[in-house]
Amino acid sequence: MDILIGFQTLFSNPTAILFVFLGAIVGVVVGALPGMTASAAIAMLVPITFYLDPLPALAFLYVIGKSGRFGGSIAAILFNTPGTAASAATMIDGYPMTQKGQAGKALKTAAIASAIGDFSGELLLIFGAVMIAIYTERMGPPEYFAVYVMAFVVIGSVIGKSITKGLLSTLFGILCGLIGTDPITAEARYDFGLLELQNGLPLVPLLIGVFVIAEVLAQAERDTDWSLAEKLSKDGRAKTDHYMTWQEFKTSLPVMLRSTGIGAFVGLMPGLGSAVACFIAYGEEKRRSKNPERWGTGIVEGVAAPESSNNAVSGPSMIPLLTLGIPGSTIAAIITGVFLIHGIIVGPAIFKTSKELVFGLFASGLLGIAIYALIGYFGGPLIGRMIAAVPARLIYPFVFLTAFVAAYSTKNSTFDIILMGIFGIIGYVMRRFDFSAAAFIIAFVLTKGAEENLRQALILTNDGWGIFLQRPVALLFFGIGFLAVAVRAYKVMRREPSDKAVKN
Amino acid sequence: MDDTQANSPRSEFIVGLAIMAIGLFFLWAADDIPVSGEDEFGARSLPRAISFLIAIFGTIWSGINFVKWRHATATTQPNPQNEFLFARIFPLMLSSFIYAALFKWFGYLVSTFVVLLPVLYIYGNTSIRKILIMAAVAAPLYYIIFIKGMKVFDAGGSIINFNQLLGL
Repeated sequence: MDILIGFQTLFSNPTAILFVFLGAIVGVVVGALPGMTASAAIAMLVPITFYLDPLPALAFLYVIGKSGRFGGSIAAILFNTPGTAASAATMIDGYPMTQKGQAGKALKTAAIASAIGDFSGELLLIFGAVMIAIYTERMGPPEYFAVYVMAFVVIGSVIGKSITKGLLSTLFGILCGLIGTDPITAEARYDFGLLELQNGLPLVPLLIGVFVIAEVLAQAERDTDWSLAEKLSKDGRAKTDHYMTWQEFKTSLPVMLRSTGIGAFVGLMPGLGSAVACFIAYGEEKRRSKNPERWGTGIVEGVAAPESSNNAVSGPSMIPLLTLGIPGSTIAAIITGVFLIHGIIVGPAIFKTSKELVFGLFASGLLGIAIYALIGYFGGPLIGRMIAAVPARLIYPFVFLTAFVAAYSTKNSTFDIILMGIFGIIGYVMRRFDFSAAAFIIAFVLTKGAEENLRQALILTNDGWGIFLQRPVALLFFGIGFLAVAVRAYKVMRREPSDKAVKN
Repeated sequence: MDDTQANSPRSEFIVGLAIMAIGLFFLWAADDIPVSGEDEFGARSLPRAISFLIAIFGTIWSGINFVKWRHATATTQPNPQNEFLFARIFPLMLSSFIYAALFKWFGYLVSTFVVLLPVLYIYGNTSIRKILIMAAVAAPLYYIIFIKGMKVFDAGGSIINFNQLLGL
């Protein structure tokens, strides 16, 4: 029971416990802010973790990712605006519940469902990752390169609305990842004579630009304001409108468990993420329901399904990272960067080299789930009222200021601020034209490892590229990548004629 | 291959051209990467391959959208987001670069105060008095939290060192 070692590590580190608490609070509040994502919050807070030991640093960001997913449901239920993409499906039944005066019931259902989903996903991570790592540890550079190629292709083809744009986002991420010194020969590449680019593009300004500045710019396009205090005050016509009854819990539990399964499966797939999981779970549960016409009118199951599935993604999305060194989500990509900043190489060997840290992180995740569930259950309406009291026109200017100082503080370099500004514009353009910022960031983080493994694989053999044909595991991963593109392309092509027929 | 397309074919065509140009630029810039040894796969190979693929995808994307644009019958609705492009987005983009320059020349406190004024206005705070008060409160607050509290380095400004003048 290695998780007990994790709890021992966590509870012997008061700083880590403090940062788990902070992470849970920050995540819920930021997730509840319409437009602000957990990824944006994590990107801005990465510099703070430079001053911390690895466990508090990683636990802080990991818990923000978890609680941010739940926090999004507060905005979805109270403001009819998803705080994060992961809670978009929660709006469908959550907001009608608020309109019926059942905001308290909806928020408590979201808290319970999120905790059940997240807890189950975390258990899958704890017990599944170690077993998978035993197999992946035997893989060599050719197999790893094949895994990287599979990740690039899968992420590029499944994220976003267009395969072409998804693949282009991935290629652009790879191109940015190639800037800096060559990993084998140490030749400078694409540095354009700038000393600052010789070590490659720094992760933190790039993350802040793409996620925070792009969001700040996008928010300026809207006359967004949220004021739902009157709907909250109408809350509670009957006593049971404030909480989830035992009967409702019993009928929702199977929905939560099935949706958790969907979320966990989606989480294992690199790049799919919570936004996909919540819609699949919502659609599936509506299909199974005896009264599908009630879905969308404000029912408890309509909140329970998306909330348990989107949070169940969290744990399993870390499995590709910890067993293969490949981040399956944006948050995992940022956490990879933090591992590297602290000098820890992510991959299957991590369960041997940094066992206490990894299981301490898992224990932090479990503690974080308990804390954010309690905050959400008892404090959800209060957080909603607080956010409603502060208009968007005040929040975003200060997010802009904080992003600036966060980018600068990494290396005390004004060059990083300029980079942040440039990548903010790039992120905004990407968002405007439906390119995938997530695919771009994940590809950027993966590039170095992919190139190293490719070059090492080619050095290992005299057969050149033929080495990949001699390795069945490598061929399997290439096949999975090819299959992912083929399936997506087939689906798109099948939809296009039917769309044209509908238009005609 | 495209599932849905929210932007007009004309703007997508321009995006495709821009992508093609980026790909071609990096393909050209890859020639400057020094190569040592006679390796089949050296420092230049991957940058060349990736920038070539970007240029190809950009060409395909612009080609598809050029055809769509030429065959488009209905006039496309103006994008409501364009309304804010010049009034809000460009000034905000510019302000991050101005912030960096002011920070270098006049230090954190003054640059934060100056930049906060237009940023607050862009986000819809229209009362000049309130903007001035908020900037006057927030700039010192940020200075205390980040520069004094978290020890983020502030040289004080190369043109005028306000930190010295204010005795900070």
